[in-house]
Amino acid sequence: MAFLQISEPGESPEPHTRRLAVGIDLGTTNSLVATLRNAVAECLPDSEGRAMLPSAVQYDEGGAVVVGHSALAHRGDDALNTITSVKRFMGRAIADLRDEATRYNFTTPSGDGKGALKIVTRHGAKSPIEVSAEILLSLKERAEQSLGGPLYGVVITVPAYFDDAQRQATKDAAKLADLNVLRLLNEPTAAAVAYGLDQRAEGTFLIYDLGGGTFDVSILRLTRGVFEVLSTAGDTHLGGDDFDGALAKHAFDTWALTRALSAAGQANLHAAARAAKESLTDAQTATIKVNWGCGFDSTLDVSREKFVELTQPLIDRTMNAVKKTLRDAKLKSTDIDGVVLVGGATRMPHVRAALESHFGKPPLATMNPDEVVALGAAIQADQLAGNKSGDGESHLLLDVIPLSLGIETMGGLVEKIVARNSTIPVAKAQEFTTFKDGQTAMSLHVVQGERELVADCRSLARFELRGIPPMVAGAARIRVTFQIDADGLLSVSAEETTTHARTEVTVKPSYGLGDGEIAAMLQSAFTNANADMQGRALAEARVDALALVQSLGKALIEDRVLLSDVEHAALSSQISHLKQLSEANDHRAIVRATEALNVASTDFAGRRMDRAVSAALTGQRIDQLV
Amino acid sequence: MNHFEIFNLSPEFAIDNAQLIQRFRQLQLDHHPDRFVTADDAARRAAIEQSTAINEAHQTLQDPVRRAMYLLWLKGINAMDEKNTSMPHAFLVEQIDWREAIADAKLKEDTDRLEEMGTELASVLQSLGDTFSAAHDGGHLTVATTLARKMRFTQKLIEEVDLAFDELQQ
Repeated sequence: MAFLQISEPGESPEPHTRRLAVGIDLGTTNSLVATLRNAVAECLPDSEGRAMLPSAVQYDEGGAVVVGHSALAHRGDDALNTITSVKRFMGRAIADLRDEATRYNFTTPSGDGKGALKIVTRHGAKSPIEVSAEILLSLKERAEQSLGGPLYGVVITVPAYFDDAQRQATKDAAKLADLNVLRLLNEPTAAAVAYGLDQRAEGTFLIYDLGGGTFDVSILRLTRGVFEVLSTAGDTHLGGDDFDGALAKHAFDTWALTRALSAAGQANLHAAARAAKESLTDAQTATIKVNWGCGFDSTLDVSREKFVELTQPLIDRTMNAVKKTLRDAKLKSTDIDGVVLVGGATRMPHVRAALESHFGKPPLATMNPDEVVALGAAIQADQLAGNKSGDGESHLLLDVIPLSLGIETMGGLVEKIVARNSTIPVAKAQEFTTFKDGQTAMSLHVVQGERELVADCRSLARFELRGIPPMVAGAARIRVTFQIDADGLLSVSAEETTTHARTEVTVKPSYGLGDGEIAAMLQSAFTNANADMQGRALAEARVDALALVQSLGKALIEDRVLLSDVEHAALSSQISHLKQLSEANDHRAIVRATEALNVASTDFAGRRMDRAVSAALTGQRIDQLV
Repeated sequence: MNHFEIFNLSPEFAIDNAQLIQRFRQLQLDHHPDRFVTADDAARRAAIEQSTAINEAHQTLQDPVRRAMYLLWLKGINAMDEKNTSMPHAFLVEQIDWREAIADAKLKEDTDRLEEMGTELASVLQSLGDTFSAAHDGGHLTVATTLARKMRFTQKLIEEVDLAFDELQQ
């Protein structure tokens, strides 16, 4: 293998064998790919000159997978099959979802709602890993076309506050896209590299990174090419999307609309709210305007003051995390030499004002907040690939683990093993013993988080230690070593120290995919061309049926008054019939019953239409009928 | 090599922080896994091990409480040994008072008071460290052991204050 060529650290391969390496910012809303050209980091644009690729994937009717701008265009009219903000679902179970739980039809492989979630699309159930892999593939193609050859390796950025499951999911997505991951890099750290090297900055800096869906804050000490993270905090469920959401909710409440919005209606409202938010960066007022289709629209004027008032709680949450990083680093706000802004959402004037009032100086905004993470990742990718940068200087990143690692002890309590903000790589060994004579196995439960109860922390993995030599109770000494590597990922090894028997460790990730599942997905990607059409038709029929059942069910509850008892009973029984059918495997029967129910509910839909505005806002199927 | 030897420091409580940081950076520049991404498996594994050991040594020495414990451990004393738990009565009463005060401030959501207590506890820890330093370097190991335990208790209180902050600001 050509990759096995070894070069000493700092020694670069010949210029003509320069390895193609890129940095990828896999964002909630937008993704970018960047590389180092002539010692300058730059983002690679698409054929139309756009650097940002919307993180949107549409599974379209023709069986094709569409990524980016073209996919985003279908967010309104094909909402259930157009996946946006998939990063919020990485390494997550259905129970973890908050307000976004209604955006798609979610499922789990086991069907019981436990374990990693999947999203039901017309191409079947897709894991967030698969959806992310589509985005990565698109960026990979862009990079390989632009650079004229296959990529040697990539650095992919993740929110600093991502836990082990979310990091592992990101790495799995890269594996699925056939990318060689040189390193997972924390987003604020990547930004610090780009900023620090660009400005030749030295000192203590706070990176405030408010992206589309995640918020991170990190404090770094920059000294002669060493970037040392002192502390980090954040919220993987807080970003620009939430500011849009606050505006959208305000409009929704003001217009006093009926309760449920169809997926399409939601998408339109959020897009309008986002546009208004962006205008408010420069303007004092903006208008939220939503065209619901069918000739209805709604408008609302919002002032910047109103927007600030609506979103102040979100800003407060970010400032609390800022204070936490300062406490963890044992620093005062006056110890910070500069605050660096990262993420498009930091363009909002009240974000800047909050930081300026806390630190007594305006934040630094010399670099494009949308691109700085990708640029930093590109610089790091180039160095990790063994290419020597132009000025011959190398730099080093020393990052930390964002959340404490612990194991479950008696009574559902957590015993901390590795404290948050420990510099990685880090390892801790813990000794255990047996409590029964002849015991040859024991199980351990590893969790991540700061709380005392296991139930309040994130379950990472359950380990089974087998092959312990049989001894009397309490005689065995099992030394378990938890190693966190430079990507922030956990691995475990165990040894019985009196006999030096290595015990077998079976890692069962609570979330994410096993290697077997990834292999299966890769296999199915290859054989996708001759996919089982029958299975596909069934899956599609089920999705359509499910959508109708859900929307009509909701409509029946909301507009019960529009139906007589007899009509209501008839529709209800047809709904449960369709539900039953869709659990069986006859796709033709499902399609027929779906059509029948569509026809039977036409009249009801018409009456709902007569109730004016609500028509386009309720069940999606119904508004398609009219 | 013990943790002090790794950083060319003499095994005393008062250490040259600048030297610790500088030597830490230099060692990581030489041994961090990022330097060996394109190397073979064995070299990459070795890098992880060495970098981990450097981090462990650095984290032990930069924290005054862990540094004190480690100094005693080098002399064969486990200060946190369960057989070694007796503490002066007055000190324990003081601990209870602190805990009550922290719980009270948390209940009243009095972040100013929490801030004050954090600062006060930090200076208590500082002066305990100074006394430990004198006792340890003077060879009074029994006294030093009690002081190290007091330092650990005080650090726990600081952690309580931080936790109270975190919970109030959730």
